[in-house]
Amino acid sequence: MREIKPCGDMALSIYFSDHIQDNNEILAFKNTLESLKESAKDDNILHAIVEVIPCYTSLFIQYNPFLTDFQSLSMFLQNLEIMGSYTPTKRLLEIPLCYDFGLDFDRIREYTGLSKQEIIHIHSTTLYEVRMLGFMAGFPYLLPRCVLDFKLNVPKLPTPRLEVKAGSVGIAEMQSGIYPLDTPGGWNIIGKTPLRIFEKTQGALLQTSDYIQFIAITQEEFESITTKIANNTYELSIKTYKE
Amino acid sequence: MSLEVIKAGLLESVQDLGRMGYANAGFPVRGVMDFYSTLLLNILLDNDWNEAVIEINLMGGEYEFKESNLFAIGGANMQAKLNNTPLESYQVYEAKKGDRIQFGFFKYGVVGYFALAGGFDVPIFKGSKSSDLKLECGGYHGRKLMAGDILEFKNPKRSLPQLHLRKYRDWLEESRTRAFRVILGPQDSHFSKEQQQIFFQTNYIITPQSNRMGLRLKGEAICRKKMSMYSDGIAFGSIQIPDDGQPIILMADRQSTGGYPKIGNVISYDLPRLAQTRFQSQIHFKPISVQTAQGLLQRKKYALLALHNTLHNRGIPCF
Repeated sequence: MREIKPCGDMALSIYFSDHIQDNNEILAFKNTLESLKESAKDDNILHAIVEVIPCYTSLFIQYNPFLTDFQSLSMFLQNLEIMGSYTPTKRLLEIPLCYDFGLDFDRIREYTGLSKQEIIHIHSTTLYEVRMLGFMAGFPYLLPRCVLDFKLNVPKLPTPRLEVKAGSVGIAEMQSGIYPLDTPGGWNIIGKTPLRIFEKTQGALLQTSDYIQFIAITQEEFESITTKIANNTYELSIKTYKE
Repeated sequence: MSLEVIKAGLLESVQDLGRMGYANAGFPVRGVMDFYSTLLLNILLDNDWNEAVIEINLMGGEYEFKESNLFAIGGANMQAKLNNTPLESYQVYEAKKGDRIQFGFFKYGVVGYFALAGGFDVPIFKGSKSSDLKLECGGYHGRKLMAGDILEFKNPKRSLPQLHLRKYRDWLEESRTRAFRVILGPQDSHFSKEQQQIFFQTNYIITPQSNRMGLRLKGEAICRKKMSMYSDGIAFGSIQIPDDGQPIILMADRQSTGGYPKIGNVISYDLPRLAQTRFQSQIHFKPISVQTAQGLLQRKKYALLALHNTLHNRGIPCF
């Protein structure tokens, strides 16, 4: 049973579970809404939906309250049957990461009991999935594809840093994330990527359901990739990932 | 060359009703803080209801018309003058080339609006003319206005029909109430009945740390139950309770998602009045059902349509 809660009078959230699990259902639901909307008649309730944002355990839906109301829309969504099986073509992106720029290894070592080498090994061999974009500028929330026994589990900093540089990669609880802009931030910084994960004209580089593999690089490689990106000659590795 | 910024105010930017549909690409909504004042001005000027306006926060500057046009101001009382002649809110005026409009000290309200007939010729970025001041894109070069900036009119007008009817009462001057109605949720279950009671019985103060991103309140701390909370979507007017228990009401420049529990959401009907409530004011909340809130919105829409139809010499809908 999906739980549907109002977020004011122009939006609502549908909660699919009370804990983090596989997000296929959330993405399949969103996909069903979008497919149905395309072929729907002009007076269909689906046209009242303005925006759908997938989150960890929920879908946030912004709607036009002059075309429908909370009760009608929640009834519709409660009864919606997810169309077929949703097997999207997922992307696998290799994100170069220089761990030399990490700032919080001492803290991570303290919490996990692992050595710096072991931390880097785990982080760079884990297949991460983009579960949602949010916070700002498409900050990607990454969760390991397999959370069972995942050892890199460190609480956020008690006081956020006043400034974390764009490209910084952090970890918090079992998540990993990449800061798209210079902002204050409370995640444990483990390194820095030369990639621009948010660009003013295009938007966010990553999409929900992308898979990420972090690739350890040296400082020299970091500089070289930065130059290539500035010259528009860097080729990011994006592969198609089949489950 | 239509309008030149002679002197910039504290924070002036080009905004429309917001950028919808691009959150999944990393672009939040942004847009005006007070959509009611914006809608009134656009209707009075026969503009598209979503036409971009200049939003003036806390203190305004001075502009010179390089080209004639009709204009109107509203929202906060900015004690504005056109060449030393005081201006009324929600009234259409004509400005000629060389005329200067000066915005003074705000008598009441927090955000003022300066709307031009035919709107601004500012690029539409991801479906909207709103300036994203954090991501530095959209609107007028993605930043606040500065002295020397030149804005272009899209479709300036010399006159409009029924000019004598193009006025509206200053709704903000009449609004004295500090009660704001709230729809509970989505995380109201994270707060016990006692905590919810405290929330609705407390007089909260709007602190000076408030801005377009959110209103930070000070008052009785609200404690939440130990329940897991995963980042989810944030609507305009959502009331977040962070670790210190001091509520934050998320406004126009909010992020799209967040990880703090939200006890409720201020209703859209009350958001313009909330956006206009000054620092150090005491406010309190009242619970209301989403059904009642949506009924209020319908009434507001009909009021706006009635104004629009009057100006176009059409009958006012009877219902």
